[in-house]
Amino acid sequence: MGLLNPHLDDDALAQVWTDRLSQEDGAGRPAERHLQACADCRARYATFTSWLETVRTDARNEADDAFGAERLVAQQAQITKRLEALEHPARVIAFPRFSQPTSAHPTPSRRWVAAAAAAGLIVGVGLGQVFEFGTNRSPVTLEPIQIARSTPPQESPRPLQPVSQIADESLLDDRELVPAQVRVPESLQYLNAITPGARDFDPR
Amino acid sequence: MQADGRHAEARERYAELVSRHQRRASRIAFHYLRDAAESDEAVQDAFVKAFSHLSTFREELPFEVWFTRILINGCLDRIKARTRRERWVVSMPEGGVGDRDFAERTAGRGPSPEEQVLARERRQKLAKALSKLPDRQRSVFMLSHYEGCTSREVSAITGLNESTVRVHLFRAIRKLRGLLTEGTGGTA
Repeated sequence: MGLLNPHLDDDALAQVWTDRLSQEDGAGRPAERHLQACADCRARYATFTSWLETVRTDARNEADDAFGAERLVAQQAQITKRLEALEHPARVIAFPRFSQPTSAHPTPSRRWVAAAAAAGLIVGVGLGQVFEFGTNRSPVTLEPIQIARSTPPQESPRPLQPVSQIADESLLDDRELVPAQVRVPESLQYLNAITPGARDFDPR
Repeated sequence: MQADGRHAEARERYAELVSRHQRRASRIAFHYLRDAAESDEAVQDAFVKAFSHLSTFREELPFEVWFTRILINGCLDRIKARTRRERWVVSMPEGGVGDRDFAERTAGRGPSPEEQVLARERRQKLAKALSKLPDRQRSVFMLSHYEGCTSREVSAITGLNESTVRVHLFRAIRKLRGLLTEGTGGTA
C-alpha cells in the first residue's frame, strides 16, 4: 500500500492473515481498515487465503496418505511393545563358549557348592594340623655348646685343645671354604688365627 | 503410578493418550522428515521417551504441548543426523520415498491420474519450499497453519515469545509465497 498503489500488497495480506490467525485484534490497523473498505483487496485476500488452504490440505493429505489406519495400529502396537520392554531388565548374552546364558547373580545351588568347597578346605587344613602334631611331637634336645672364652691368655700360647665334641666337618660352613684372602678386621685377627678354617682341613 | 509399580495400569492409560495424539504426531513428524518409515520411528521414540520421563511432566502445560516439543526435538535431531550422513553417502537420483508411495497409491482409486500428477507436483514444490525455510519459521508455520495451534501453544512448544512467533509466521508465509509463485508469474 503506497501513494501510487493504494491497494494491499502480498506482505500486507500476509500480515492481516497472521494477525487473524493469531487472534490478535488488528481492527484498528490501516491494512485491516482498507480491507474492510476495498472489494478488490478482499478478493485478493480471498485468493491468498485459498492458496494457503490448498497448501495446508495438500500437506495434510500427503501425511495422512503416508500414515493409513493400518500403519497407525501397527505403530501403536510397536509403542506398547517397547513400553513393556522398558520394565524388563536387559538380558546378559552368554559368551559363545558357554551354551547357557550367564547371570550376574549366583544361583542358590552354586552358592551351596562354593560353601561346601570352603568348608571342606577348612576341615582338611584343621585335620592336617592335628595329625601333624600328633605324629611328630617329640621333644628336641639340644646339645649344650660350650663357648670358648674370648679373652686372650696372659701367658705364652699353649697347644690348642678342642672345646667341643662336635666334628669339625659339621662346623664347616660354605663361607669358611672361601679362600683366605678374606679381609679380617684387626681386632679379630687373633681369634681368626686360633680358629681352624678350611685351609687347615686336610681331606686326606 | 509408574513409581508405585503399577506399570500395567500406567501403560493402559498411556495407550489411550497414544491413540489420541498419534495421528497428529505422525503428521508433524512427516512434515519434518518427509519419510514415512523415519517419521514412524520418530513418533515411537517420542512416545517412549515421554513415557519414561512422565515424572518430569509439569501439569501447567498440556500434555500435547509437552509431547510435541519432545517430538519436534527428535525430528530436528534426525534431520541433523541425516544431513551429516548425506555428506558421506552419494544421494539417490531425484525423487524419494514419496515417489514410491505415489506409484503404489495411484492404483485405481480417488482422483484421476492427471489430478494426482498435479497434486504430486504441488506437494513436491511445497516440500521443497518448506525445506528452504529456517527451522524456526518452518516449525512455527507448520504448527500454526497445519495443526491449528494458537500463538500461545506454539510459543510453549518452541520456547519463543508469542510476538516472535507471529513474526516468524509472517516471514514464513512471505517467503513461501515468494518461493511457490516463483516462475508462475504471480499469484498461485
